[in-house]
Amino acid sequence: MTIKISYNWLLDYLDTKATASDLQKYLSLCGPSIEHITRIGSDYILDTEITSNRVDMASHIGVAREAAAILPRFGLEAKFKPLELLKINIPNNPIPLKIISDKSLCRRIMAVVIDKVSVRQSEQQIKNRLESVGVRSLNNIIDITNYIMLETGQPTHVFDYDKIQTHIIQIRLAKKNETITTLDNKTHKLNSDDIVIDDGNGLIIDLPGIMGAKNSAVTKDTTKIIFFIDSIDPLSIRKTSMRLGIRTLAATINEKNPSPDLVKLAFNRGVQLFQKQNKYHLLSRPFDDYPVEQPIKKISINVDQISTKIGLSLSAQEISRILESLDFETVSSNPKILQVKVPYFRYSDIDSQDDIIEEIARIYGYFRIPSIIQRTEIVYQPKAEEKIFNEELKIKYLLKYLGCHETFNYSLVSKQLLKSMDLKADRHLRLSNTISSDIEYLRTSLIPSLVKNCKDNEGKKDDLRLFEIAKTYHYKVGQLPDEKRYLTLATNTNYYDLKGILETVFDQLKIKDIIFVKGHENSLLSANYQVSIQSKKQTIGCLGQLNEKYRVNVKLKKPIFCAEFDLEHIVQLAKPISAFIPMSSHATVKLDLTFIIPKKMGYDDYIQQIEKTSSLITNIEFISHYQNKITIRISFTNPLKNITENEAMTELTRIRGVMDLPSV
Amino acid sequence: MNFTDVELHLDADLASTKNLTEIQNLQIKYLGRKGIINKLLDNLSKLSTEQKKKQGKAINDFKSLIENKIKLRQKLILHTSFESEIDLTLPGKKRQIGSLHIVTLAIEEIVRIFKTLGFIRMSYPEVDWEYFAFESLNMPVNHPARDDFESFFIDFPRHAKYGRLLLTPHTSSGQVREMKRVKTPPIKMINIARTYRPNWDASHTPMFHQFEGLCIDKNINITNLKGTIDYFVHEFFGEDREIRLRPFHFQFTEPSFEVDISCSVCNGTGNVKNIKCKLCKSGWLELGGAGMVHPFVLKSGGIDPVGYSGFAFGFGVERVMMMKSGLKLDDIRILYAGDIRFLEQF
Repeated sequence: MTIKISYNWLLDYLDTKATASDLQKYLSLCGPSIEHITRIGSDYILDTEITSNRVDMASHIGVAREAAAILPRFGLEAKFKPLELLKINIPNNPIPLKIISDKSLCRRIMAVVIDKVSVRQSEQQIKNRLESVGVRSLNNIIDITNYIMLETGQPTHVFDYDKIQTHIIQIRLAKKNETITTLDNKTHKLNSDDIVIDDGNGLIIDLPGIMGAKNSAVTKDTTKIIFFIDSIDPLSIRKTSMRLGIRTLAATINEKNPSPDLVKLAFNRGVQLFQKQNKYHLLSRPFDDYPVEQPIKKISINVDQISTKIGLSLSAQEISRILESLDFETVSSNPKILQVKVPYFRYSDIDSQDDIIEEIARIYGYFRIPSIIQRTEIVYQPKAEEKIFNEELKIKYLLKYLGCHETFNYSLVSKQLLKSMDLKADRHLRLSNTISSDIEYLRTSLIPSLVKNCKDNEGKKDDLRLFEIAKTYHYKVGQLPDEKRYLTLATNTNYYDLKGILETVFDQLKIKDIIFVKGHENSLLSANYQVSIQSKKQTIGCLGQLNEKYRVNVKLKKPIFCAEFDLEHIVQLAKPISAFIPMSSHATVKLDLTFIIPKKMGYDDYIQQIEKTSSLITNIEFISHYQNKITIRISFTNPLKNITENEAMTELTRIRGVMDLPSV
Repeated sequence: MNFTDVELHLDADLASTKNLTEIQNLQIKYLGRKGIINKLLDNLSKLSTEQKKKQGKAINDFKSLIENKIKLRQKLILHTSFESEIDLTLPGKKRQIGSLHIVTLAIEEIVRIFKTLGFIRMSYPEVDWEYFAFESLNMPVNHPARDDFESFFIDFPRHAKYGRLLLTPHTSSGQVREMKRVKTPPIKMINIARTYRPNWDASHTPMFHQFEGLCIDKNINITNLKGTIDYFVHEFFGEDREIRLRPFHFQFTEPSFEVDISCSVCNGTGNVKNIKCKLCKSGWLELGGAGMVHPFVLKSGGIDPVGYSGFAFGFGVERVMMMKSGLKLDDIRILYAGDIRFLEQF
């Protein structure tokens, strides 16, 4: 949580010459982080981040206490000035008030009735201070409760005494479906684990620790108030406040477990402020219900262990000095062991020696601790991870140098995008709390995102060659989804452009036995315009033209060609170095062959058949195609002697015969 | 051909030579095995011994003359600059090269740096159970610290033991998984993955990348954490960026701190042309959190917190990349918008 601290107000509790910017610089290094300073008139407002474990700092007094410990470490004098509280003079007035608490729900309650109040504007200083830290000034009564909270860190409340006709305040659990209308005029339906205050007659008059109810609120006609502080179970505060969406500063503080011991300080301060406003106020006898007092916490720490964990050699004296500056009391029973008494306001966040180590290290200054790289034994990366990360990077670079641009898309897409490609939303994992319909469903294919990239880039560049490598998420019953890394490419150029890129990548990864087989695999691609990419009869991916229907659905002007692979399949096939084939010392004759591939047969299959016809073939190169005529260049080499052109011609003629091709 | 003819020819040839390749050709033409001079020698066999001697000497002298003339020309060419026949200033034939996403470039660099320190890169689920994202990291249900890791949940039946399914809000969910995998330290792991939180504005995208480092062994202490982060920062950013460590709180580390680096958009001033910098807080940008692994977390991972200690850190990949010199993005949503005009710049 971020709170605003007024520099001038802070100086009420801190005797120092340090400037606002000194506070920012030094507190940020050792304590609460001060993110911004804003100047307002002669004051400076410090935006101070309070971590969730340090609710004791969420106030002017809390920050002053930290500053008093930290600033002297930087050579700036600073002394904490505790609140000076006068003894309360209680004219034991018999104003009736009955409080029925429940120690399982509420740790402490303090309350007092104050008579003869008049509701009006606050005095100027309170008004200014509240407004400087972003709290709206309402009236002298409400303002005091807010002022105490910002000063001490303890939220407080006031009821209009006369509006609670029973004069009873009873803590209880709400019944399911009971309702409360809070101060802000909103009506909330309650659950059976919400804690409420009842007037003894079943009427809910407050959501303690979170927000007051409309029906017991102070208004301009109020003359008697109940000044009331509770210390409700923090977990319950959080549950109720989160579920109802009432995130008041009071709730944000109370859910972080401020010490119930703090209640007394805030209570006395409140009474003092009310009395300062009008010394003729009459009081009821103050009420304090604190059935289980917060115990005193003592932790024993080992000086050597502390030094080991921090990596410094610190003396017991140095450790004591740091801890004392933070209001911990230390007693040394032997030279290596310190008994540490935790101050009451740190009761909930300091539990163990490790917590104490943090206190010592931060005040000592993380910036003063040396940097030493550890020496550990070698750690082996599992081969599967090593290979996938290495090959992934290699593939990315190959694609880059082949003219492709890498994109990163969100792992989530919209229902609309799925629908535009006839993908069923219910086959995709869906977010239950998305913040935009654009990111609602986890991808099972990267093609839709890349098609969208092509659409969004229309007119920005003529030739688009895009790719993405990312995880896709495949539903599994009752288990974590299958996360598969896909490699997907999309281009608006042409089919052979994309196919050539893939073939080059396979060549470079030394994957030799890839074939492209006509067939229908991927519903996103046109049924008769796609091939499956196979290695040893196993499909590793597909390539084809985006289904025309989907192209029209996403309003793309040009056809899009896509390829998609399970990256792991490619990685498994990739080899770092291909096997060496000795160069033949005998002559090679290259002859061209033109033919038409029979229907229902793919180029790769056909070439494999040609290769099988002759042991003299050492290489076949694709030269060109014109309509359905294919020209290839065959290299003939005899491993035993130099082959002559005539011998090669004879072999070619023989091949024509075997393949049943017309002679030239 | 007699000597005079040969000489005249050579002079004409030499006059038109412009480069060393042509000189090389002339050397072959006149002085080569089948060259003009050797042809002159052919006739010697018909002569008497006396004449042979005389003529032979004459031819050798002439050969020296030819050699000298060619050498002279060669020297001249070497010392004269001729205008090239092509305009050397015109653009060359550029190849169409693509580009890699800057996140890829950042990840490559990060992996390289940590590899030097012996950290291995691992990968864990990006869709995981709440248990690994929170409970195992000392953040029980309803703990206020969970607010810092607001998460996207998946519409999926709860797991009896591990709770709801979510998109990992941080890479720390890999910590306990790595401890369970390795069982006995040392552990030196780097996990780089997509992470998700429900924020979408100029400085947040709902998906972003983090890199998590985890080092567990005997006697690992704060100085090691600092040493490792210092090494990374100096390797990655160079010496000209300022760094500060601030105390912080994470449930899964104790002590915890946050590492900040000075902002490059406002040069650490907090303002751009008198307007509050859109990207940072008073000139500092948060790289991420770090700390000593909490004993609770070690126990979750089955590691004895008495015998072993460790540190962990989790930084934003986008953040470190943007903080690196030269890249000034004041709206990070552009990273994942897929605009080719952005992509092709890297």
